[in-house]
Amino acid sequence: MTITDPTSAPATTNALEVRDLELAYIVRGVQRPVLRGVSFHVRPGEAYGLVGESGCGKSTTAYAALRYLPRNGVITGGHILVDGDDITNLDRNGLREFRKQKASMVYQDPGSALNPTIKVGKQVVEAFTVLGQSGAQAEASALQALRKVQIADPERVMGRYPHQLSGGMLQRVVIAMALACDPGLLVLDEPTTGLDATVEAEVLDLVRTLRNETGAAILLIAHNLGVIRSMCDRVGVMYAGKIVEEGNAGEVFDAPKHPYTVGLLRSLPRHGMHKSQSALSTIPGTLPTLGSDLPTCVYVDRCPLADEKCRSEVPPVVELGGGRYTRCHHVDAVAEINESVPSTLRTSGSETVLQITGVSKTFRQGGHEIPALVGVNLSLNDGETLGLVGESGSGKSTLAKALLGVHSPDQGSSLTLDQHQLASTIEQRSTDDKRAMQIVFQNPDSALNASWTVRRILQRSVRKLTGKNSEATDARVAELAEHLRLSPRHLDMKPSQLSGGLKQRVAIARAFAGDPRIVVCDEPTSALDVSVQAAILNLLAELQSEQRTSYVFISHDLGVVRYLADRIAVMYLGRIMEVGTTDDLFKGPNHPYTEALLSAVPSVDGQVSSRIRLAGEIPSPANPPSGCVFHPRCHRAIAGTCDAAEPPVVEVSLGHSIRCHIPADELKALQSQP
Amino acid sequence: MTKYIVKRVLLSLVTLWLLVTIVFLMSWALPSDPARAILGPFADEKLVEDFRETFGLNDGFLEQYFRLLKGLVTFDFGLSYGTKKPVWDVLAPTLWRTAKLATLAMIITTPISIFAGLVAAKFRDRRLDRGIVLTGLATSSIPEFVTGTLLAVVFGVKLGWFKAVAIIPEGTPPLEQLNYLFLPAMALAIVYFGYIARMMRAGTIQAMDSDYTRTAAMKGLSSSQVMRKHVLRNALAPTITVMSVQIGYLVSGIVGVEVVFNYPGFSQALLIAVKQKDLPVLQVAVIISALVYMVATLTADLIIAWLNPRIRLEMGN
Amino acid sequence: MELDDVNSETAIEPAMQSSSMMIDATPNVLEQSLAERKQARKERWRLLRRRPGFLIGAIIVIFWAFCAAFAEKIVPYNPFDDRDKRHMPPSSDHWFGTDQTGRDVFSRVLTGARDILLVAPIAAILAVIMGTLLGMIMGYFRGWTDNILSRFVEAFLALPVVLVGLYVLTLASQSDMLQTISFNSRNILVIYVVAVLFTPIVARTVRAAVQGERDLDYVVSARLRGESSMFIMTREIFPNVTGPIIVELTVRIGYAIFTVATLSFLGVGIQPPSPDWGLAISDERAVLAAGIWWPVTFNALAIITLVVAVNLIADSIQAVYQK
Repeated sequence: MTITDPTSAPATTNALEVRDLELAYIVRGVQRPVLRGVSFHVRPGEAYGLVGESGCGKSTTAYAALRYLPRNGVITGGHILVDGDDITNLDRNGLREFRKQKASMVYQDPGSALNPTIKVGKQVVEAFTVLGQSGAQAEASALQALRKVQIADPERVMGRYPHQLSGGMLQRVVIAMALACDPGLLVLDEPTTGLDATVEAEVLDLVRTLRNETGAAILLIAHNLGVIRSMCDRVGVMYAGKIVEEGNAGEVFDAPKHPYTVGLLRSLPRHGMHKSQSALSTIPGTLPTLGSDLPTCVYVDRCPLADEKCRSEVPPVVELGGGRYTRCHHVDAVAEINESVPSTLRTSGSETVLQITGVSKTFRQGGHEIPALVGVNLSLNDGETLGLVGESGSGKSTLAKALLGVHSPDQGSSLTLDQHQLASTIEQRSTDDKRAMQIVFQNPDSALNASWTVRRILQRSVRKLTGKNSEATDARVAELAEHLRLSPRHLDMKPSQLSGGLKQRVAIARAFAGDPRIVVCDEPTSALDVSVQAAILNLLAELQSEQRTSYVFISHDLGVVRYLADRIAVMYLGRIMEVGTTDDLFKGPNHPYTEALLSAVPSVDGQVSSRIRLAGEIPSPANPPSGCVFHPRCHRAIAGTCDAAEPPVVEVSLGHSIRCHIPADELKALQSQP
Repeated sequence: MTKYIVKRVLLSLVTLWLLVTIVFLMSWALPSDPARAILGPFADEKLVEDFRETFGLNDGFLEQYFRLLKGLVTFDFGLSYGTKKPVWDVLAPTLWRTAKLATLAMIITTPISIFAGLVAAKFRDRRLDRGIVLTGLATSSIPEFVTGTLLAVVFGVKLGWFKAVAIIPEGTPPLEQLNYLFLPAMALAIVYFGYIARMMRAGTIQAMDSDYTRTAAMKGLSSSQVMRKHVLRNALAPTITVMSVQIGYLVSGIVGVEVVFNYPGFSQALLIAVKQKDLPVLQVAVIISALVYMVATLTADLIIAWLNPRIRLEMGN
Repeated sequence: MELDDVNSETAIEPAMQSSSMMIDATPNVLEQSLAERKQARKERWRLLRRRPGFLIGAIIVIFWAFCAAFAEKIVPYNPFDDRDKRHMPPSSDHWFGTDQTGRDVFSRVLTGARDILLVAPIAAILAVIMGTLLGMIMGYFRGWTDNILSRFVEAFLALPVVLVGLYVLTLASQSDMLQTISFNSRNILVIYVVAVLFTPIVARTVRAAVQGERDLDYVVSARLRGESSMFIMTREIFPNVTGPIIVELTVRIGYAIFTVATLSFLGVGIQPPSPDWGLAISDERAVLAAGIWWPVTFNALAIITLVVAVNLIADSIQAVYQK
């Protein structure tokens, strides 16, 4: 990828210039400010990123850049210039022409961005006919455009309906439509959120290639700092409707100069950090509610450096040279914001808590058998975290549910907890077995009963799992609340009155109600912002260290897994492809699938790793490939071997096994090459 | 798709069978002696016995049940108590007159309500939209016989623009028949306007708020192109469902309207049957109108499946 | 479908998705701030009171309910008294004129809500109770239970209410079981018929609402701590589907009034000498052609005000609950 030096950019008209943009949502007749004077520009051919947590206004800015406002949105000040033309007050026809010719957009959810009742081809063709091309011409252009976004068989894709294509494929189609008019400006709003890391990497590669080919300027919105770093030349950090810091992406991420940027970056587990080394930093407090009054510094309520000056004066724009600035009264003190605290956690034990052998799960659907889990063997020690990673559909959640007895595994599967056999469904298990294994779900909104108070949720779990009387139950609830840092005020609220982080704490408290031996964490932080995620991860680590609880930690975020897990298992199509300690896994040698997963992660640390492309898409579990199930997508597959026979499980080193035909030494040699 | 159709039709047949059974069981749940009821308490026992014999009332439960099921195929539902003619012959001529009225009502109401729904959605939350929504709410909540009565009072009796009595003299040319049919058809149309317009509005708004409509607008399509190519088709599906259900309810509502205007549709036959305690006619009328409802919803489901590629392509496999 | 959980992994990061502007823009985010809403119920009530449709509807319904209870004592004439002055047009003596037996139409219209305001709401409440039970069982147990019950619901849905009313009420009028049809037992029969025919419609709504809840993780969580199906249905899921049930109740009351009025008009619902509006229209419509419009018109207007008012309330409640 090429990083254009912003200082050497020619002094031409900016592809996009946003000047002091103020935007409000009208809620019940009252204007609630959302953007509070946003200014930035994107030069021709440049990629500019906007980062920030949800609700900071980055998506609103992206849509406003193309003058697309929500129904209740109104621009209350400032200007938007695209290619030098002020589009702030364009009339309907002008706006249409502008969108047709000058700028395009790629959306967050490609599945809903395409009309479900119209064939994909027709929708792509439409992007060309609107430009005035004739039917046949547009058809040819559409094929061409789909080829350009690296769709191998565009004819076939054109004849499909959106629901027949995968998320990655749909996003390519959307990109092809966006590029139809050869726009000078391409706005991408969270284009890879919701896609698997491997697919995300491919889409980002594609955007990079196309950017070089077309020279379009890019405005990229993402909450994932790694994505922004790997894609953008310059970056703006947004908080509460304002850009608080801006500059060259590398510089901002390596040496942040605003307390918020510092907080955001420190919340992430970076540089291979592990829970045994240090706890994650967190940002105290919560995002101000939409439209609240923030007269001085927008970050003042959460800032560790805030003093009287910050509360009384609007912070200046401090120029730092090279087009970099920050809005802070205390730029010089930013570097002194405390580094994270060293960890005092106990390490995992050596006593085996859970042993699962030959666990399979076959679903039946319309007479077809769909093996979702195939012969999974795993063990879990006390106080240990086992990370479970893999793409969507790899069977991670099915495995979790089989452990918990929500799904009963197939005949011949064996689950032993503390040396005794577990019944296959939850209803058949004893109360002790029930309390021994609990779960924290991904989405706390769905996991907590919306019509119960927090107190009732916790009381019920305590009583049901421990059989305590009501006095002891109340004592236990108070104890749990204290552990999870929930105040008594929170106990009397309903989940809808709590923030996402607080809800997840309630869910964790509930899981710990009966002193469980094992807690399954199914993507517990993926619905949360990074600063909240850090607090939850710290909490989970502390609880584990105190209570010797074991975790099965499912996540698609390898950074998080690397931080929290002691061992990691990699799943593909219902099978464990590799299992080993966290160190082993990140050191290698790896299964080729693991290798691809690891290389797909865009790093916020800016390490450039060569990407491994996985061919094709994850096959249907109903129809698994012969031999090694991974061979059709494997970049190291050996023809005649991998497609013929199931690979053996090879123990590379103590506790590190790989399911692959290629000998470990050979893998090691192959993978050490650049 | 074929597999979907077959499955859907088979399910409908099961429903039909259940429904007929339910209707049949009603007469056994409320045991009565029709012969006595019709002939009166002082009728000769021999006469009563003859009556029972003629109408098969002495047959056992199963025999009567299977006779009814068989009737569904052969249209032989036995004899009417009142006229002593086959039930089907009593009902058939009235049915098609009712169908004529219902069709006219649908022809009047469908385009107007769909258009009103679209307009309301387009001018969402403005005064025009509020007006349409409120009108729809009011008209659809008033029973058909009340609407019909008021129409008759105002346009029939007071103003005299249309005939308030819909008894069409023999040999009236089709166009002139409209003069008689207009008010009853309007009474029905007014009630269905509300349902269809509101659903069309909701469907259109949903489609207009969707991400794919945003995509289309961002491509630079004009708002009328967006409406025509992207919104309309997706907005139509819920409306079709509502219309099919309304066709089913039309059967109920039409009874009141026909009575108001003395229209010789099947409600006339029904009211006579009620007076004469002619249970076979009533029973078959219930079954036939349920059948109409089922055919309407089945057709709607198939149209929707055809409009939605997800069902069309996947249900068949 | 059983593959749910395999696919559930694709739903990564819902909160991030909700950061998209369209969702940010909804008032929900604001409403969740503690200062602005303490209790969802209070909030809904506040929203309801601010809707003019609800207020107008409520005033009209209260008016008719008051009339149903007390009008007989305050109206100028006894609504059941026949007089010689038949079919007198409206005058200062008889504001709405007199009917075919010389009874005062004004007094009859004001007392006319009595039976229908008893019969229709009771029928609707019964239907909602039975429909909720049925719908919860169908939605919760799924599988064969749901399949079989769904067939029955479909079958009942296909039955046209008015025709079944005609059939059953005719049947009942000659049934030995109900040989002595008194005034009240006839009303009870109407209640049963309407309630039974509305039950499947309610069941369908509740089933859909329960299905939406039953796949949520809090239900799995309840299973994991060993709750019984009964507990999960009644204590966990039920409180979360009360919204749709309340909406359904108000909508059903509207339809029940609609249906009972039609049945009375056709002569099989509420029976004479009740001053019921539908009955009055049925009795007096024959003289319309003779220009005697007042008995029919005032009764028709009375029905209209009541049904429109009930539907205004239902519509407001629906709008508030769907927010």
